[in-house]
Amino acid sequence: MSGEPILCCSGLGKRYGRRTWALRDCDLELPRGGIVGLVGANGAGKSTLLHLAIGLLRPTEGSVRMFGEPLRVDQADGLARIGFVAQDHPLYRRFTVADLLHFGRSTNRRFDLAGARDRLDGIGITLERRASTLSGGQQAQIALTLALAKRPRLLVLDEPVASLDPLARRDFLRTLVDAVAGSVAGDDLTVVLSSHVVAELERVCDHLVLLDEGRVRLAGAIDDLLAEHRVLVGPRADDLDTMDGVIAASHGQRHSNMLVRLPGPTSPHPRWESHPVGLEELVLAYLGEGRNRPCSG
Amino acid sequence: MLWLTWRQHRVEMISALVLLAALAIPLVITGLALHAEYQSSGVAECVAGGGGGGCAALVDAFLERHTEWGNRFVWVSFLPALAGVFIGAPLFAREFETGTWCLAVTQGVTRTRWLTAKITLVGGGVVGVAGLCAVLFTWWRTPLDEIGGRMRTAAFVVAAPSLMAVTLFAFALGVLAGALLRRTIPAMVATLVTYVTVRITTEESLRPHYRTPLSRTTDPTTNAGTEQLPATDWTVNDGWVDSTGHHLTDAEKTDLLHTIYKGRSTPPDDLVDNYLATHGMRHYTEYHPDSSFWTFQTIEAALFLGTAVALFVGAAWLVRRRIT
Amino acid sequence: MFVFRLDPSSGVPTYLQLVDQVRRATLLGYLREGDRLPTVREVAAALVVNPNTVAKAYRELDHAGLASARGGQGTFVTGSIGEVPTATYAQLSRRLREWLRAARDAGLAPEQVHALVTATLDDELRTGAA
Repeated sequence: MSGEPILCCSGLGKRYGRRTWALRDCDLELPRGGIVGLVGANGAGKSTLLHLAIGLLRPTEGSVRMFGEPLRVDQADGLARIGFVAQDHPLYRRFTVADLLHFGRSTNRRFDLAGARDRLDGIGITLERRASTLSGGQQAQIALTLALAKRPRLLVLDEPVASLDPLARRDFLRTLVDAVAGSVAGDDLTVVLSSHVVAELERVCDHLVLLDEGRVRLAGAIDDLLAEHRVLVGPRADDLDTMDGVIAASHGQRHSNMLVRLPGPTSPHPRWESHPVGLEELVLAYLGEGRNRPCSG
Repeated sequence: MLWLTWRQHRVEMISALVLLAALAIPLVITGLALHAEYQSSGVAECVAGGGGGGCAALVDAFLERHTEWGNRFVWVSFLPALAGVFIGAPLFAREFETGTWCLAVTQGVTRTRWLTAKITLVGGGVVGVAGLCAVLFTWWRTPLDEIGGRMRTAAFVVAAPSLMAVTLFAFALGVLAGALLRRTIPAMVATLVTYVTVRITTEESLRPHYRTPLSRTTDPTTNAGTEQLPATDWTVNDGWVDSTGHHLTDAEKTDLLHTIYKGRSTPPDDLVDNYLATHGMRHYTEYHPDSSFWTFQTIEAALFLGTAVALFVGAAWLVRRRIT
Repeated sequence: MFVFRLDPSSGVPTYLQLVDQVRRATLLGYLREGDRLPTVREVAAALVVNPNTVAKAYRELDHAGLASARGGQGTFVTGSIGEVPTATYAQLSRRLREWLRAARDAGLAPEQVHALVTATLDDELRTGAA
């Protein structure tokens, strides 16, 4: 992963109607060449953020920079560099798979038709089948193949595996991971995918963004985040609850568990037992407790 | 976009052509027979001015055989509804319903190009089919039109400018409904209802007023006994006018008729005409002559064309607003 | 071709698991010097994990001297740990198990055991090298 971020959001916000802010004060920098996971509850603003990031929505406030330049909305050059698969991976249902590939080729400047055919062949999807007769997993794979075939620099997926069974989910993510691994340096592929299932994200993502009620609660490389947080177990300490850096706390009769974010690589006090945190635990802590406290970090 | 638009709408376009073919076969067969009879029976000569006595009877007989079918062309007024309901309404409604708009605008085609291509390519196809229909229908009606003029509804609505412009309007109505309601079935219903309402209103209330009608008054007694070929004028109003120039209203007319027929159990045929003549009253007719035909066609076409364009602009604005 | 596996619930970071598997395989003789490890892409696709994680594991292997990339041809196992005679291996393995049982009985958590072992090992290596 090279240094320059592929996507920069500053103060991004989107308001629907008069008062509902779907997203507010969003500042993000997403690194190039990785797989970024966007996690949050339903209605947290994930779809809104993704749509804003690729220019499908116009922001109410703030701006987006992509590849170091202001986002070029609705222009052929910008469109060529972005791939998008919407929620429920829509396809033209009456089209055959061959038609869909033809569609991709006729509406994109760059389209790797042979590569797409090979990939679909490899997962056993024949070209004559109509899209509506395929399973959910197969439709998702086709949508992904179409998006990948145009050789985007940034691929954005909105809850791509939400409606898929475990096997289809694994196959989908495998295709995704393989595409990222296979993209050469210089033409590397960055992926942003949203989900509300954390376990999967932990496998394939190396960067995480946590959204809650329209605001970014947590963002960073997963390895760094896991290194920065620890669960401290020790004698009961109610008063430390509201201390800066304590994300979540639960108290037993005589002991307390606290999930803390360490300032830098310092070690906690020796009195406290320090345990590493799993990603799911971390996310839940931020989502659960984050509601009751101001945005930390 | 050309391939995509064709592939998305090829079923509809082919159905339209199949419908046209289904209409064409019986129309061509009967039309050829009609044209042949028109020539061979001498009616054509009569209309051209030749012939002589007996022409009126000949023409009347011809009309009696074929007017019924000729009048059925009035229903062509509602043919454009098919374009609006089955092709226009789903144009954007289906894209919103299935979410495929998202797929379409994240390839390499800009949003503007996507929606203008859809509207112009499909609209063009629909208008083209309408044009072919107009040619077919107008050809079939030619003998009847030469006799009775082209201003009457059955003759007017099948002509190319009117039919093509109204079809584009119906299509535009469907497209707007689909863009507004974003659901196919409600858009189809809304289009049908709106189109029928507008069409009926135009027929009844609008077309007679494209130009001021000409006026003609005739003596009640002069027409008796004269043989005449059917007029090619389109009468929009007629009645009685008294010696002061006042046009009698329906109520006054009814009263007068009561007075005339008072007490007579077996009134003679020319009773009314005699009464009118003795009281200085005459028949008046407000009409549009057959020569106004092309002016009227142009006005109607411009009207529907202009409205169609406005509807397209509205639809495009709505779609853009939804997808940004 | 060497086959990796992943235990997502073990709490050990993915890249460390991969490194450990190579280390263990080399120790047990499943991997020998000169064997080619699968490419980053192959591992990522097989396990459905982030390619950067695999790349990180391979960098770690290179750093630890267990495997290194050669030109553009792939990553090869280097410096194999010599094969240990089975008897010695079984004896050491048994004594280690006894020690681990003792540590657990004393109340040490797995991470503490691990920390103790690695700390002591590092210490030994340092004093050994000095």
